[in-house]
Amino acid sequence: MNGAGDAARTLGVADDAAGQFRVETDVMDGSSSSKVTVEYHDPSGVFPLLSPQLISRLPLRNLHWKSPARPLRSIDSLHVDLVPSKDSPDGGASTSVSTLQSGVLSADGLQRPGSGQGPAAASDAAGSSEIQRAPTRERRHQIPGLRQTPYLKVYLLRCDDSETYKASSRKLLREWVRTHTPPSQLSASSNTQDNHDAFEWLIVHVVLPDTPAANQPRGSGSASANSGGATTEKQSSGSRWTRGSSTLFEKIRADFNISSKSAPDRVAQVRLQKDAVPPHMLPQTSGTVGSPLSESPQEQNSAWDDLITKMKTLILLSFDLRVSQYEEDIREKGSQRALPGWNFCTFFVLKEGLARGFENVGLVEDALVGYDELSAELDSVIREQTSESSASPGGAFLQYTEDLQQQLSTISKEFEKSGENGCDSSHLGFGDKPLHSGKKNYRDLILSNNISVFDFRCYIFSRQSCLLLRLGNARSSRSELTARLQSQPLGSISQRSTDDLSVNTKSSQASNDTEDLSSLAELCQRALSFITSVARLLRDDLSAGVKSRPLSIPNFMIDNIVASWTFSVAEQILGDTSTPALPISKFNKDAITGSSGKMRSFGNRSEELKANVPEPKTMMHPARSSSLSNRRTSLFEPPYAQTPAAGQVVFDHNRLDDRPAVRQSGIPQPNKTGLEDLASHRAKLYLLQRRVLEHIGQCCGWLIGWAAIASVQTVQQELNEIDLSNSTSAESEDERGLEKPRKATTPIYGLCEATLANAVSSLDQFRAMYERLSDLSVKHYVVAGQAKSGERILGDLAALKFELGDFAAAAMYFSRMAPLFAENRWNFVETTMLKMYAQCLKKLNRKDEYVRTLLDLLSKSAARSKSIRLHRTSVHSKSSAEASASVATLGWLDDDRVETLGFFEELITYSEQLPYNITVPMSKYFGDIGVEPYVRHYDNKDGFQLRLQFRHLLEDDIVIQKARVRLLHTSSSQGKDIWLENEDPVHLRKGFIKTWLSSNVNTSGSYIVDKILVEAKKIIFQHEPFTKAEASTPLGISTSVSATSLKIAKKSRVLCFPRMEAFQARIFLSQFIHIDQRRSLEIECSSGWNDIQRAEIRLRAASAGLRLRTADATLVHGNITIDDKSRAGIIDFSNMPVDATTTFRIPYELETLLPELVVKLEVAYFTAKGEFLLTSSSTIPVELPLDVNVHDHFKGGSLISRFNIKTSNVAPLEVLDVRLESSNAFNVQSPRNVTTPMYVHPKQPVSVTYKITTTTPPGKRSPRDRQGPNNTQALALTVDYRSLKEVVLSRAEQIFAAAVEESSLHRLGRLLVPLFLDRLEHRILPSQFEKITLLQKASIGSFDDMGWFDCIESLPQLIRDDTRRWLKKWHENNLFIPINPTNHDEENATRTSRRIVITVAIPQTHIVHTASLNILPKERYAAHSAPVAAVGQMLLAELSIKHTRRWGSLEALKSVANLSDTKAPMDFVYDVEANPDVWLVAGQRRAQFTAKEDELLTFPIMLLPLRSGNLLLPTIDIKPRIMASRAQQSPPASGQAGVSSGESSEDSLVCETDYLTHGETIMVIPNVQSTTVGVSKFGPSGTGSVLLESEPRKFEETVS
Amino acid sequence: MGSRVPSIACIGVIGKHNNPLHISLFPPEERAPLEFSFLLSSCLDIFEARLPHKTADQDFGLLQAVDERLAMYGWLTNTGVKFVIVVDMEGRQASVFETRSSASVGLRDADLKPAFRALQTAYIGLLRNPFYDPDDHSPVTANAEQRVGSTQITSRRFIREVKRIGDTWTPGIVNI
Repeated sequence: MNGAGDAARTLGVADDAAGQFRVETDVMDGSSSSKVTVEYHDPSGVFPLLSPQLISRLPLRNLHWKSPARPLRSIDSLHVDLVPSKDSPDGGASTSVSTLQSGVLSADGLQRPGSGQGPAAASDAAGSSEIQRAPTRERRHQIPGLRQTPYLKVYLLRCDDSETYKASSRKLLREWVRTHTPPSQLSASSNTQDNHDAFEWLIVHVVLPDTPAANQPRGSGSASANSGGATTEKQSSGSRWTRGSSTLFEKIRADFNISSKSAPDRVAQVRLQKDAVPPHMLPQTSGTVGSPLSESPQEQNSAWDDLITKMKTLILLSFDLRVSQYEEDIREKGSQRALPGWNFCTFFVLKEGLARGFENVGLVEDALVGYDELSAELDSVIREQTSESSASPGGAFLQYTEDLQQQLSTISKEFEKSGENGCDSSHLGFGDKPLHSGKKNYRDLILSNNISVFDFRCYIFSRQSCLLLRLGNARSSRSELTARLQSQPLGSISQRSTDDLSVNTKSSQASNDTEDLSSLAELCQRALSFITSVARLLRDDLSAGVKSRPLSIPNFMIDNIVASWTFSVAEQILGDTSTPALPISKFNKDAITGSSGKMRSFGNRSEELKANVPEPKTMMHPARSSSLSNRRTSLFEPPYAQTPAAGQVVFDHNRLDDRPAVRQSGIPQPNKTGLEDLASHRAKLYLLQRRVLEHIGQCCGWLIGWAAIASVQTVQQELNEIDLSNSTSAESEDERGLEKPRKATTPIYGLCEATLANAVSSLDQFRAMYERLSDLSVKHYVVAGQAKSGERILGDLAALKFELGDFAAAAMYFSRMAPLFAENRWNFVETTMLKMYAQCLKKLNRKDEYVRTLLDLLSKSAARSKSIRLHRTSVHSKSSAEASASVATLGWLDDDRVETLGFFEELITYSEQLPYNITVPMSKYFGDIGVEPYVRHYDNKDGFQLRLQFRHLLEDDIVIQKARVRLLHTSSSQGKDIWLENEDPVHLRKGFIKTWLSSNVNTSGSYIVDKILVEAKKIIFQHEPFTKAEASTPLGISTSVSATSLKIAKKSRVLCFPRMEAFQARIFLSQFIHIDQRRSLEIECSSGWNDIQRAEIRLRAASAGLRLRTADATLVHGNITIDDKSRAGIIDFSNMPVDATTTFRIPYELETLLPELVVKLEVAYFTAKGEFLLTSSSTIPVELPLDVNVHDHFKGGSLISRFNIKTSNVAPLEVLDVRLESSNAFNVQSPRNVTTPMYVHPKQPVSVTYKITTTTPPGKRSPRDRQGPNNTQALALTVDYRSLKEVVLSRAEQIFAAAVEESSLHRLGRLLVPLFLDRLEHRILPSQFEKITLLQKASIGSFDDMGWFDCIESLPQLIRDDTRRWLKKWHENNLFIPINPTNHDEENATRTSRRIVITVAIPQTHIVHTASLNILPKERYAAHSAPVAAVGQMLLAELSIKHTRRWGSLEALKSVANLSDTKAPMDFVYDVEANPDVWLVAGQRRAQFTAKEDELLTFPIMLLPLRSGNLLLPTIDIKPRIMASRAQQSPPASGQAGVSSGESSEDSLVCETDYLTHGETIMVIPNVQSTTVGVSKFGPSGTGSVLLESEPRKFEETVS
Repeated sequence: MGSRVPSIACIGVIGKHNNPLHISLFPPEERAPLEFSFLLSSCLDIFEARLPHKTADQDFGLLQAVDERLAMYGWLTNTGVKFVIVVDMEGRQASVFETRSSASVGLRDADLKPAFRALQTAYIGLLRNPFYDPDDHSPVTANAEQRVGSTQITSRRFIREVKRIGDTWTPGIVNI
């Protein structure tokens, strides 16, 4: 059996008939087709005549099997194997016929197995086939399931006429039926065992043409038409001939059909066409027969259909019988399971029989289920056995497999024999198909209880895989079937009979669609678990075998055998499941360049590589003997056309490589169901192979992929423990040299798989193999969409490339993969890759990338150190050693662990080669970065220092050349940024680093640390506390930026302030303001302890429209020399000694009115200790705090001016002095007692009145005339004042500063005092100043009110408490500060008092009239009391008007009033304005008069008071009147123009009236002497009074 | 050669975003961390591939047989955290009580269930720790915050528990 199988394998597909026959038997043994056997008994040799027609109607289609226990199963098609019965006399009578026929048929291409062969061939076939054994009865009970017994037996009856029938045929038939009636039909319950072979029988009446039978019709007329229906056609014409006598067919039916209704019809008839029958078969007596009945093709067809239908029914019948029989048996056996002595093997055979039965009829799924159940049962049986330990005697299975043992011993013998030379043990291998159900006579072994678990499992799996392949319609199973079907002599018919296999052997495209990839995937998946588990079995098996006999087999040999087995099984499955739907599953001539195809861009490298690595094809693909492939190869052009480099080898491989070639033709269908599954499982199989390879490699001392790299790394890390010479060098450099010794010692014996053996023949081969497998699996994974797995393998490839020295390719892989792992935080993997990547980059001299990769690595390492620190400082306060120890004992893979010793140093050193600087975020590499926000002053010079601190997390010691910190002012508009820098390089050692950074800037204000830069060679670490704070908030809640930055700013705010002794510069508004002149700022500089050689003041206006005239700067006081002030905004001066003060005054101009000026000041000054810089920014209020109004009143001889001084804001003012100086034109008479200082409150302005007279005596010409008409003589009002705010602040400052100076805090003076002032200024509200003025003291507020906390917090811890305590105390003692102006010391007074000079112009007036209204006679009325008059009494008054032109310039008057002469008289109109209710005015109430200088005019006026009481005298209004006629006199003007010009001059002519009688009253009394009033009841109201009588006064009396 | 019995070679806890949360090796000195990292990362594909066909059950059973010794088993929690156990079929020497080699028997998926349950219990315990914020261990937040380093679990208790599970598991064990 084995021999036959081997023969079939080795011979492959042979073309001769005998070969075909062997294949046939082989396949039948494998039973991988759906095929039932039908046995025919052909006593008269008609089968050859029948067969063409019959076979053309095969296979049977659309069988529907319904068994009670199962759902309806449909069998699409069922193959029928037609086999002659053993007792058929075909060897005898028809020998000549058949030989003759075989000639004929082979000429036609019609061949069939089993018939027509020589007896020798037939017996040969029978001897090796199951069929032969089946009828042999002796072991029937044991192996019921093993037989391919016929489901149907057919008697081919040739009976030409009724006579023959009656004479012999009937008897023969009866005999045959008797012997062949299935027992079940005879007696239903006699022997149930026989139902395993249940079969049905059928008689086919073959009617030859030209025989009497042929002339008979099918049925005997319509009489019998009822019995058949559609299925049985009757010979209808029989009645024509012999009435009452039925046809031959009917006779047979009557004789043999059982007359039960349910029984099937077992008789069929077919008629042969004349041309199908060779002449010698035809009866000689053809002439005697009458006209033959000619049948239509339709009738013929239906006759054949009838036959086929009957066959189907009968086959199903017997199948049903068998199934039920099997199931019953299985039940029975299964129920005995608990009994002792129950034999699984027997059960197995039984159950497998059922499965095979299913398989035979094409119910592959059912068969597979059967095998699955069996497999599970085998598992449980084994499990039981193991759990019972040795209870079952000797185990139900063998401990080891005998032939494996033999193989092992052979190998070991050869090993001993060959000794060192090494032997090729591949011929002892498992062959092309290590799993094959036909490889051993498994079933016999099972039956005889003589099988090992290993074999058992192999058998089951091989059957399962067969079934799955069939289900999957795999190409491999197809090709097998195709091969077999080809062997059937069917010729053109074969196409139809094989299409149940869906193989169109002529067109490969069609086959693509029919593969069921998911079952292939299933197979692969099963194979995976099968291989892995059974490999263990095999190992146990082998070692058990070794133990059982006195053999010394080294362990590695067992390992190798197991490996070989694993490899080859995987190979077999891969081969079986290869499908055109997976076009990538090839490793064709591109194999080498394929994987390295990605690196083609690297120029020659791929070529080089190709030269190095031998073509792997030589050892791939053991010859596949698929007939399909043979035919295909010619279709494609030879691959060597494309690969000239290794062309020869590839060409060798040409034949083997047909598989991919086929695939290329197929259009890939990526979306096919199961494609992904299949691909992924196939990839895993490849990986499995690769793992085997790796293991073997390991045995040889070859590490590959990551393992190699990992080992190198461990070596690097543990230099002490591992001897460098063996392991590292083995991989890296000297491969060739080490090959020999390895070969001598390598335990490759037992590698009986040719591919494997080849692979380990040399390291190059090994690598090539590895690469090939990796490549294949990557491609599969890509198809499967399983990127991660693919990446993993790419990683291996990358490692391989690295090992091979192909750094470019490796770098390419690494650069692709590291980010992928990084994304999901596979830190460990990522860092390992990055390290490799870095090495590649370094080798490739890609500096930038190298440095960046190193940085990446370091950042990880740093992050790790950070997190460790975090842990250590958190809950568990363990020491680091303890922590690491506990981690080690726990043995988890700390994903963060990164070894970067030496990397940092390398990075820094290497960075020198970079052409540019690289800036990286500092926080990634250093921890706890910060700047202590406390300034430290120098002891001997200006400027300050800040301490930068950070934690160096990495092991390496490095040196940083520069560390810089940038400070930014908190209010962005102000100030400029300050850079602090270290003085010397800093050596960094692991741990906390603190270093002082210094700055020469002398400034005050709060700053924030904006940027920290640490430079080490060309690597710049940059840290920006702000941006970082925004990025990371705990819990990932995004707080608004402003809030965060505010918080951070407060925390890390650096409060800068200079030393007390430092240089100082102050800008303020000049104390003296002349309202008409350019104002100026003053800069006060005090040198402090600096001996300034040279200095430069840079001023910058930060307010819009402000222009600083530095060129006009003057030195107010101080003893320095101004060198240069020509440059805009810059003043250079020099030679300022220690403790000197100097003040500059700088005029400025404003384009628009601004309440305050912002000026930025920078002073760069040079001393012997270097250059320093003072920066400050000042805001100077320039709004004047006071308003001055003037009210002028002209008298005839003097001008009365009243000055009102108000505050312009709510703060009160203190006016120290007010002066109005006389000028040469005017005399000023001051009020005699002005009390100064005066307080000016918002609601209480101060007014000062001055009397101004002209210096020229009356009557002389006015001084204005002398100086010209337009030059107005102005007086200057000087006001000395102090803003109370300034007073208070300055007073407070004075007190506070003095206190600070005396205290221990004097160092902080420059910090505290300005802050104090600032706070105070905001604290005291303007409204409070009123109170302060009145109380003469100001409330400073408590310590808490002042908000010192911010300030104190920004002080170093050390002095905080002291400061707080002192400040508290000071506040307690100084709740109020006195603001006593009398107590002001001189300095304060001068500092705060300001002077403003306001020019006061004497207003212009041309004419002044002095008017008065006097009641006449004057003497009647006393001057001191108001005159008295009675109502209705006529009063005589006199209006006197005096005219003077003294106050105005006469020239102006002349032009304005169109006078010809300055002394010419002018016309005026006076108007007495009296309330008509009060006064009755008689006389010239309104009159025109003409006046000249100093002329006094009088007008009489009568006044009659109408009411009693104190009455004001009427007022007088005097207006100049310019005559229209005068206007007309002006030559050019027209009427209109004259009017307008007259009016305009009238307007511009200023005429003042000084009305002396203004406000004088007269007492008016009623003119009644006596009055009588009656009081009684009057009118309806009843009460009231009535004037009865009154008597006027006597006039005389009044007058007198 | 003494018979060897299966034992756990590696326990991997993998987060929702396929990030490693924890990897334990048994015994740590014998296992190549890189190899197992790769194994774990590649088995995520299998989770993904099988997820669509998955019912409510959390047990993924055998993910992949790597070779004749190693096999990976998977478990998926409702929150998308994956537990992967790699079993070494010849992980350790059989003790006296486990005389017979079970190599021929193989493992059933059910054998791993107790271990997975124990792992899940341990993980739930971890989640109940108020100081453990799962978001801190997600690469999404880590990437957003530009944190460097891994997102692994550092809870000592959890690690200890995982180690205990890995050490105590044997085929057929019912409770861990």
